[in-house]
Amino acid sequence: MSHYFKLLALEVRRFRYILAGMMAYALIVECLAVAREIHNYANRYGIKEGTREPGVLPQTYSFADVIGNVQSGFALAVVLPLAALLAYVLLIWYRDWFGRHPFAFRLLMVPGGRISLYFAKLTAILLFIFSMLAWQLVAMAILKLEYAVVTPELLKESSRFTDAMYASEIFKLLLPLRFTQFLINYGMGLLAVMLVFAGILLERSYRIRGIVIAALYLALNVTLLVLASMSIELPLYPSETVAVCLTIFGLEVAGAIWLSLKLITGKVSV
Amino acid sequence: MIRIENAHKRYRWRKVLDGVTFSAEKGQITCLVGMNGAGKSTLLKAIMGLTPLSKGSIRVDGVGSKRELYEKVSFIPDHAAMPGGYRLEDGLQFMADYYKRWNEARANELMAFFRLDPRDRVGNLSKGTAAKYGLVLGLAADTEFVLMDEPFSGIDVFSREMIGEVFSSRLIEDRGVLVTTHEIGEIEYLLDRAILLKDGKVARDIDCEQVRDEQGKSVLDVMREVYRS
Repeated sequence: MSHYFKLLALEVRRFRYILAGMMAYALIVECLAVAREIHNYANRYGIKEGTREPGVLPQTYSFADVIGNVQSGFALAVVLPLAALLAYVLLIWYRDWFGRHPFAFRLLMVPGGRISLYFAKLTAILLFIFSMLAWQLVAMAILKLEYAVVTPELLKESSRFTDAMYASEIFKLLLPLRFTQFLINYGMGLLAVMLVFAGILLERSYRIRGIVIAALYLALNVTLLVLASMSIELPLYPSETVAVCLTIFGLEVAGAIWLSLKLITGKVSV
Repeated sequence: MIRIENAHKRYRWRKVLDGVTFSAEKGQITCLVGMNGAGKSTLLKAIMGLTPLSKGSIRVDGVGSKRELYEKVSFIPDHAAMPGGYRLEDGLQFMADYYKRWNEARANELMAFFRLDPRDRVGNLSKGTAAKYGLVLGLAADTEFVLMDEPFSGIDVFSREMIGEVFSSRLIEDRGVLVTTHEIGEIEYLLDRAILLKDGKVARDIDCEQVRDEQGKSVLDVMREVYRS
């Protein structure tokens, strides 16, 4: 167990600057988008701090309204870090295999460490995803502060933090209001990472043949998931539909872990 | 003792190992000799579980399990096997974190012997310096066996001398050493046994001292007989 935590700390240390960079990027883009939106709105009504053009009656502009109108800014802030995280799902393995001094040699020779290595890499990815998510909540609080500072008094209107959060389409997707939806979204994300890990380990074990096997393996799992989602249309009780979906999800998770551990402990090559 | 029995390995359609059987004893320096692509490095990696065999078995002191393997056997590949961004001291800390048998005093002694700066980064090391650092990482642990893959490859003459000194030092004494090298001349006089691989099989398994005494031949002479025939 101690090796697992050490390896997890190692993975976090190796990604910390990229993670910090992604967080800074997301915050800067969102701050700029909010500032620009408020500035444009104020200009539309000729409002400067404390004064307004005569004859124009501006509507107030709450923080939730601002967030609702910067969808593209938020998308820009989230999509790039998300793409980087998706790329890192591959890189977290491949970076150890390539370069002048492949680190995979050392990692695979850690005493009793291969299973820990697999789970450390998996946990690290989840940790990065949830860190970005938590950072988005912090960023929202910072944006609210920015709103309070840059919005002219005439336009200010109070709004609830949650209203502002769910005015953003991206936030609705990242942090669904319903807990079951949250579990489904992140459960599917976790399964996707596990399937990709199994695919990578197939490729690292059987090289070119492994790519073909991995493609077939991923196709089979995706097909099963599609079939599971189609069970909604079958004449089943809701509880039976849930049971079918959960069984297939559970089988795929168990299958991905079993295959990955089998490969990493006995088949993988450097 | 490391015992390799009937090892088979294929890379796609090419048979690299075709029933290789030999053993490496504790307290002896055993050299794996062969042309390029003869499967020498593959054998070392297979012992460490870094590549699976198609068929055959590997046992260390009679045990086939990998559970205790990495505390018993250390492997020195032909590169440092550490992230390029790491400082040398980070690599030493990594080893100390994971290996019960890591000997910090010996690691420091070796760093001083090879005149390595702990603040240097792995990515900036020359091939020779990386080889010396690899030796520090491999020899500082109190393992019973040491596997070395091409320790002299692409290294300047002075670094070779330093690495050669290690072979005759107390760092190697009492341990079993299995080494692959093309530069056999560097350590020929220190070898106890040589395993000559040809066409995926063991062509000759020689007791170096016996061949020297009884036939008046060096390992190089035997290599000429095997590889020129």
